[in-house]
Amino acid sequence: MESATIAGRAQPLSARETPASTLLTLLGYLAALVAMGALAVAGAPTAAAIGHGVLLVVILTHAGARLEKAKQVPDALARGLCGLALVPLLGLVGTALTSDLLPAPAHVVLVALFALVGAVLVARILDLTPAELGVRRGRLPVQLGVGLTGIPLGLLALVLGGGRAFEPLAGSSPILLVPAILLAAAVQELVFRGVLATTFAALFGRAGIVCTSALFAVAAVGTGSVGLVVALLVCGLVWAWARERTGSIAGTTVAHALVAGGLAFLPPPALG
Amino acid sequence: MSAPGTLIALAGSPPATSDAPTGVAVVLIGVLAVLLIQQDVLRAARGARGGPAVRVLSIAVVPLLLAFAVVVVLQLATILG
Repeated sequence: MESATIAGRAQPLSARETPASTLLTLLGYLAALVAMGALAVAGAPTAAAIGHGVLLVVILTHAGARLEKAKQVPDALARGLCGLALVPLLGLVGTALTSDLLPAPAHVVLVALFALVGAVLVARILDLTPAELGVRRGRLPVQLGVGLTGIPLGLLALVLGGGRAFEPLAGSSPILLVPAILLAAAVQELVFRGVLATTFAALFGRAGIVCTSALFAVAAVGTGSVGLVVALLVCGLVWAWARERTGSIAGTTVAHALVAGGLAFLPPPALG
Repeated sequence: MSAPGTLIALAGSPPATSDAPTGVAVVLIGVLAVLLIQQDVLRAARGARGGPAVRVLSIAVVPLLLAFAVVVVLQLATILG
C-alpha cells in the first residue's frame, strides 16, 4: 500500500545528471516565468494565464515522471520541481480571481489562502516538517533583528519600485488591508523561504539561496517595474540568507510585511 | 494598470481592472480539466491511487478547484448584476 506521502529525504541526482544540467532545466523554467510576466506587462493577461497554465502542467508532469522513476526516494530535482510549481500556480490563480466585484484586500486574502493550500500540499507530499519549512519561533532578539531589515529594504523598494505595483490598493481601508498584508507576507514566506528554499537547498546547497531569490524577484516581473524586481531580488537574498542562518521564517515574515505595508501605505518618494 | 497574475499580488497588488476575466476563467477551467484528465489516465494505468504522479498533480488540482468555485460565484454575481 502506498504511503500518504512520498517520504524520505532527497537522494542525489543520478550519474547522468550534473548540477549544470539541473541548473539549465531550472533556468529554462525561470525564463518561461519571465516571459509570462512580460506578457502580463504587455497587456495580455489571457496569454499570460495560458502560459502559466501550460508551465504548471509541464512542471508537475516533469516532477511526477521523476517521482515515478525514483519510486521510494524522490531525487532532489523532483522535489525542487514540486516547489517550483507553486509559482505558475499562483500566477494563474491571481489572474483568474480578477474581478471588479472583488475588493483589493479580498483578492489578496484569497490568493494567499490558495497559495497556503498549495504550499501545505507540497509539504505533505514531500514529507517536509514544520521545522524544515522554517515554521518555528527562533530566538526572539535574532528574529526581531531580521524583522527590522524590513525598514531599510522597504525604503529601497519604495525608492526603486516607486509604489507603482501597489497602486490598485490605493483607497482600501487599512482595517482590511493590514490583516491581508500580514497573511500574504506569511504565506509568501512559507512558499519562498519555506518550501522553495528547502527544496532548492537540497539541489544546490547554499547556491539555492540565489535561485530562490531569483524566483522571488521574477514573480514581480508582471508589475512592469524593473526597480521593484531589483529591490525584491535584494530582499530575497537577505531574507533567504537570514532564514538559512536562523532556521526560522518568523523574522522574514515581519520584514516582508513591513516592506509590503510600506509599499501599500506610503507614497512613492519624489526624487530629483 | 498593474499587471495581473504576479506573485507580488500576494503581498498586495491585485489587478486594477478586470479587462479579461472571462478569458482567464476559461483558461483556468481548461488547465483544471487537463490536470483532472491526466489524473484519471494515470489512475486507470496504475490502479486506484495512481502513484506519486497523481499526488503531485493534486498540488495544482486542489487550489484550482477552490479558485474555480470563487470564479463561478464572481461570474454569477456579474451576470446577476
